Amino acid sequence: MKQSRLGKAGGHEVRGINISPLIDMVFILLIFFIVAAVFVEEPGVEVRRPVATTAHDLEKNSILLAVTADELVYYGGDSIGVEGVRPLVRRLLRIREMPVILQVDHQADGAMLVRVIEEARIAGGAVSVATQGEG
Amino acid sequence: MKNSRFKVRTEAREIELSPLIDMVFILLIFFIVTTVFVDERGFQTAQSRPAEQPQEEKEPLVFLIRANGTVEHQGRAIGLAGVASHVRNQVGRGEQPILIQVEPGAKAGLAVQAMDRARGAGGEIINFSKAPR
Repeated sequence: MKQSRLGKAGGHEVRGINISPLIDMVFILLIFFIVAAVFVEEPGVEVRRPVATTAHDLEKNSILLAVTADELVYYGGDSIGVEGVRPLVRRLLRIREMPVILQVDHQADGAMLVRVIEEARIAGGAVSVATQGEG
Repeated sequence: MKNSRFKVRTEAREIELSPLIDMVFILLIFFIVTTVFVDERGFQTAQSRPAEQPQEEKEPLVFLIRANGTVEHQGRAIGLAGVASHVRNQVGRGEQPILIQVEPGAKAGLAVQAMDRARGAGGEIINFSKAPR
Protein backbone atom coordinates (compact mmCIF):
# COMPACT_ATOMS: atom_id res chain seq x y z
CA MET A 1 0.00 0.00 0.00
CA LYS A 2 2.59 2.44 1.11
CA GLN A 3 4.94 1.41 -1.61
CA SER A 4 2.46 1.97 -4.38
CA ARG A 5 1.80 5.54 -3.18
CA LEU A 6 5.47 6.38 -3.30
CA GLY A 7 6.07 4.55 -6.50
CA LYS A 8 6.43 5.75 -10.06
CA ALA A 9 2.72 5.64 -10.74
CA GLY A 10 2.16 8.53 -8.25
CA GLY A 11 2.63 12.33 -8.71
CA HIS A 12 5.56 12.04 -11.09
CA GLU A 13 3.66 11.48 -14.24
CA VAL A 14 0.89 13.98 -13.60
CA ARG A 15 1.38 16.83 -16.04
CA GLY A 16 1.34 20.39 -14.60
CA ILE A 17 -1.50 22.62 -15.77
CA ASN A 18 -0.32 24.97 -18.48
CA ILE A 19 -0.32 28.35 -16.78
CA SER A 20 1.33 30.46 -19.49
CA PRO A 21 -1.97 32.03 -20.72
CA LEU A 22 -2.69 33.00 -17.12
CA ILE A 23 0.68 34.66 -16.84
CA ASP A 24 0.17 36.46 -20.13
CA MET A 25 -3.14 37.79 -18.92
CA VAL A 26 -1.69 38.90 -15.61
CA PHE A 27 1.07 40.74 -17.45
CA ILE A 28 -1.46 42.51 -19.64
CA LEU A 29 -3.49 43.52 -16.58
CA LEU A 30 -0.32 44.70 -14.87
CA ILE A 31 0.68 46.84 -17.82
CA PHE A 32 -2.83 48.29 -18.01
CA PHE A 33 -2.81 49.29 -14.36
CA ILE A 34 0.71 50.72 -14.57
CA VAL A 35 -0.31 52.87 -17.53
CA ALA A 36 -3.61 53.91 -15.93
CA ALA A 37 -2.11 54.65 -12.54
CA VAL A 38 -2.56 58.23 -11.45
CA PHE A 39 -1.30 59.05 -8.02
CA VAL A 40 -3.63 61.77 -6.83
CA GLU A 41 -5.25 62.44 -3.50
CA GLU A 42 -8.97 62.69 -3.91
CA PRO A 43 -10.73 65.36 -1.85
CA GLY A 44 -12.83 62.69 -0.17
CA VAL A 45 -16.12 64.55 -0.28
CA GLU A 46 -18.87 64.41 -2.84
CA VAL A 47 -19.89 67.74 -4.33
CA ARG A 48 -22.52 68.60 -6.92
CA ARG A 49 -20.59 70.35 -9.64
CA PRO A 50 -22.16 73.18 -11.63
CA VAL A 51 -23.55 72.19 -15.00
CA ALA A 52 -21.61 73.49 -17.98
CA THR A 53 -21.66 72.81 -21.70
CA THR A 54 -18.28 74.15 -22.84
CA ALA A 55 -16.16 71.99 -20.53
CA HIS A 56 -13.22 69.99 -21.80
CA ASP A 57 -11.19 67.18 -20.26
CA LEU A 58 -8.79 68.27 -17.57
CA GLU A 59 -5.33 67.01 -16.69
CA LYS A 60 -5.39 63.75 -14.75
CA ASN A 61 -2.39 64.44 -12.55
CA SER A 62 -3.69 67.39 -10.60
CA ILE A 63 -4.17 68.79 -7.16
CA LEU A 64 -7.83 68.14 -6.42
CA LEU A 65 -9.49 70.54 -4.01
CA ALA A 66 -13.17 70.51 -3.10
CA VAL A 67 -15.33 73.35 -1.84
CA THR A 68 -18.52 72.06 -0.24
CA ALA A 69 -21.87 73.79 0.12
CA ASP A 70 -21.17 74.47 3.81
CA GLU A 71 -18.00 76.39 2.88
CA LEU A 72 -15.35 73.87 3.80
CA VAL A 73 -12.27 73.23 1.66
CA TYR A 74 -11.21 69.61 1.41
CA TYR A 75 -8.01 67.96 0.26
CA GLY A 76 -7.18 64.29 0.67
CA GLY A 77 -10.10 63.66 3.01
CA ASP A 78 -9.26 66.50 5.40
CA SER A 79 -10.85 69.88 5.82
CA ILE A 80 -7.97 72.32 5.34
CA GLY A 81 -9.83 75.64 5.29
CA VAL A 82 -9.12 78.56 2.98
CA GLU A 83 -5.94 79.37 4.92
CA GLY A 84 -4.57 75.91 4.19
CA VAL A 85 -4.83 76.21 0.41
CA ARG A 86 -1.80 78.40 -0.21
CA PRO A 87 0.80 76.40 1.80
CA LEU A 88 -0.60 73.11 0.48
CA VAL A 89 -0.48 74.11 -3.19
CA ARG A 90 2.96 75.66 -2.75
CA ARG A 91 4.30 72.50 -1.14
CA LEU A 92 2.83 70.19 -3.79
CA LEU A 93 4.01 72.34 -6.67
CA ARG A 94 7.54 72.22 -5.29
CA ILE A 95 7.45 68.43 -5.68
CA ARG A 96 5.96 68.46 -9.14
CA GLU A 97 4.43 71.00 -11.52
CA MET A 98 0.72 70.31 -11.97
CA PRO A 99 -2.55 72.19 -12.28
CA VAL A 100 -5.11 72.71 -9.55
CA ILE A 101 -8.65 71.44 -10.10
CA LEU A 102 -11.36 72.94 -7.94
CA GLN A 103 -14.45 70.82 -7.38
CA VAL A 104 -16.93 73.40 -6.22
CA ASP A 105 -20.45 72.67 -5.10
CA HIS A 106 -23.00 74.66 -7.04
CA GLN A 107 -24.59 75.74 -3.75
CA ALA A 108 -21.31 77.03 -2.29
CA ASP A 109 -20.70 80.71 -1.70
CA GLY A 110 -19.25 82.40 -4.77
CA ALA A 111 -16.98 84.54 -2.60
CA MET A 112 -15.47 81.34 -1.21
CA LEU A 113 -14.79 80.14 -4.75
CA VAL A 114 -13.05 83.41 -5.55
CA ARG A 115 -10.93 83.27 -2.40
CA VAL A 116 -9.78 79.68 -3.02
CA ILE A 117 -8.93 80.49 -6.65
CA GLU A 118 -6.91 83.52 -5.55
CA GLU A 119 -5.06 81.59 -2.84
CA ALA A 120 -4.16 78.77 -5.21
CA ARG A 121 -3.03 81.25 -7.85
CA ILE A 122 -0.82 83.15 -5.39
CA ALA A 123 0.84 79.82 -4.62
CA GLY A 124 1.57 79.46 -8.35
CA GLY A 125 -1.10 77.04 -9.50
CA ALA A 126 -3.07 77.15 -12.73
CA VAL A 127 -6.63 76.82 -11.52
CA SER A 128 -9.46 74.98 -13.29
CA VAL A 129 -13.03 74.60 -12.16
CA ALA A 130 -14.60 71.14 -12.43
CA THR A 131 -18.07 70.94 -13.93
CA GLN A 132 -20.46 68.24 -15.00
CA GLY A 133 -22.41 67.69 -18.16
CA GLU A 134 -26.15 68.08 -18.35
CA GLY A 135 -28.22 65.35 -16.77
CA MET B 1 19.41 15.86 -37.80
CA LYS B 2 15.84 16.81 -37.20
CA ASN B 3 15.41 14.03 -34.74
CA SER B 4 18.33 15.10 -32.56
CA ARG B 5 17.13 18.70 -32.38
CA PHE B 6 13.76 17.55 -31.13
CA LYS B 7 15.38 15.47 -28.47
CA VAL B 8 17.45 18.38 -27.14
CA ARG B 9 14.41 20.57 -26.75
CA THR B 10 12.41 18.10 -24.73
CA GLU B 11 15.25 17.43 -22.39
CA ALA B 12 16.04 21.07 -21.60
CA ARG B 13 14.94 21.99 -18.09
CA GLU B 14 12.24 24.66 -17.76
CA ILE B 15 13.17 27.92 -16.06
CA GLU B 16 11.59 28.22 -12.62
CA LEU B 17 8.89 30.85 -13.18
CA SER B 18 7.00 30.85 -9.90
CA PRO B 19 8.94 33.68 -8.11
CA LEU B 20 8.47 35.88 -11.18
CA ILE B 21 4.76 35.18 -11.24
CA ASP B 22 4.47 35.87 -7.51
CA MET B 23 6.17 39.20 -7.97
CA VAL B 24 3.98 40.12 -10.92
CA PHE B 25 0.90 39.29 -8.88
CA ILE B 26 2.08 41.48 -6.02
CA LEU B 27 2.74 44.37 -8.43
CA LEU B 28 -0.65 43.83 -10.02
CA ILE B 29 -2.44 43.96 -6.68
CA PHE B 30 -0.49 47.07 -5.71
CA PHE B 31 -1.51 48.89 -8.87
CA ILE B 32 -5.13 47.76 -8.62
CA VAL B 33 -5.34 49.05 -5.06
CA THR B 34 -3.65 52.39 -5.75
CA THR B 35 -5.30 53.20 -9.07
CA VAL B 36 -7.66 56.15 -8.94
CA PHE B 37 -9.58 56.99 -12.06
CA VAL B 38 -9.67 60.77 -12.26
CA ASP B 39 -11.97 61.89 -15.02
CA GLU B 40 -12.67 65.54 -14.46
CA ARG B 41 -14.18 67.89 -16.97
CA GLY B 42 -14.18 71.63 -16.56
CA PHE B 43 -12.41 74.77 -17.70
CA GLN B 44 -9.41 76.79 -16.76
CA THR B 45 -9.57 80.29 -15.35
CA ALA B 46 -7.38 82.94 -16.94
CA GLN B 47 -3.76 82.88 -15.80
CA SER B 48 -2.95 86.58 -15.67
CA ARG B 49 -2.59 87.95 -12.17
CA PRO B 50 -3.46 91.60 -11.58
CA ALA B 51 -0.15 92.01 -9.75
CA GLU B 52 1.81 90.91 -12.81
CA GLN B 53 -0.04 93.14 -15.24
CA PRO B 54 -0.40 96.57 -13.66
CA GLN B 55 -1.67 98.20 -16.82
CA GLU B 56 -4.22 96.16 -18.71
CA GLU B 57 -4.23 96.70 -22.43
CA LYS B 58 -7.96 96.41 -22.55
CA GLU B 59 -10.72 97.24 -20.15
CA PRO B 60 -12.36 93.95 -19.17
CA LEU B 61 -16.00 93.20 -19.77
CA VAL B 62 -17.41 93.10 -16.25
CA PHE B 63 -20.34 91.03 -15.09
CA LEU B 64 -21.56 91.19 -11.52
CA ILE B 65 -23.19 88.20 -9.85
CA ARG B 66 -25.45 89.48 -7.08
CA ALA B 67 -26.21 87.62 -3.87
CA ASN B 68 -29.88 87.46 -4.83
CA GLY B 69 -29.02 85.57 -8.01
CA THR B 70 -29.22 88.30 -10.63
CA VAL B 71 -26.50 88.91 -13.20
CA GLU B 72 -25.71 92.56 -13.85
CA HIS B 73 -23.74 94.37 -16.51
CA GLN B 74 -23.12 98.10 -16.12
CA GLY B 75 -25.83 98.36 -13.49
CA ARG B 76 -28.52 96.59 -15.49
CA ALA B 77 -29.83 93.13 -14.71
CA ILE B 78 -29.29 91.03 -17.83
CA GLY B 79 -29.72 87.48 -16.57
CA LEU B 80 -27.62 84.46 -17.54
CA ALA B 81 -28.88 84.56 -21.11
CA GLY B 82 -27.73 88.19 -21.41
CA VAL B 83 -24.12 87.22 -20.71
CA ALA B 84 -23.79 85.33 -23.97
CA SER B 85 -25.19 88.15 -26.12
CA HIS B 86 -23.03 90.80 -24.46
CA VAL B 87 -19.91 88.69 -24.82
CA ARG B 88 -20.73 87.96 -28.46
CA ASN B 89 -21.12 91.65 -29.20
CA GLN B 90 -18.04 92.85 -27.33
CA VAL B 91 -15.46 90.11 -27.60
CA GLY B 92 -15.91 89.65 -31.32
CA ARG B 93 -13.55 92.57 -31.80
CA GLY B 94 -10.25 91.14 -30.65
CA GLU B 95 -9.23 89.56 -27.40
CA GLN B 96 -11.09 91.19 -24.61
CA PRO B 97 -10.76 89.85 -21.09
CA ILE B 98 -13.91 89.08 -19.16
CA LEU B 99 -14.21 89.61 -15.43
CA ILE B 100 -16.92 87.95 -13.37
CA GLN B 101 -17.33 89.72 -10.07
CA VAL B 102 -18.99 87.65 -7.37
CA GLU B 103 -20.81 89.20 -4.44
CA PRO B 104 -20.52 87.40 -1.10
CA GLY B 105 -23.55 85.17 -0.73
CA ALA B 106 -23.96 84.53 -4.45
CA LYS B 107 -24.04 80.90 -5.50
CA ALA B 108 -20.81 79.53 -6.94
CA GLY B 109 -22.85 77.52 -9.43
CA LEU B 110 -24.25 80.71 -10.93
CA ALA B 111 -20.77 82.22 -11.30
CA VAL B 112 -19.49 79.10 -13.02
CA GLN B 113 -22.52 79.02 -15.29
CA ALA B 114 -21.95 82.66 -16.24
CA MET B 115 -18.39 81.68 -17.17
CA ASP B 116 -19.74 78.79 -19.21
CA ARG B 117 -22.06 81.12 -21.14
CA ALA B 118 -19.24 83.56 -21.75
CA ARG B 119 -17.03 80.75 -23.06
CA GLY B 120 -19.84 79.50 -25.25
CA ALA B 121 -20.11 82.96 -26.80
CA GLY B 122 -16.41 83.09 -27.64
CA GLY B 123 -14.86 84.52 -24.49
CA GLU B 124 -11.42 83.13 -23.76
CA ILE B 125 -9.74 85.16 -21.03
CA ILE B 126 -12.18 84.83 -18.16
CA ASN B 127 -11.50 85.54 -14.54
CA PHE B 128 -13.33 85.65 -11.24
CA SER B 129 -12.91 88.38 -8.66
CA LYS B 130 -14.56 89.71 -5.57
CA ALA B 131 -17.24 92.31 -6.05
CA PRO B 132 -16.10 95.81 -5.11
CA ARG B 133 -17.72 97.29 -2.07
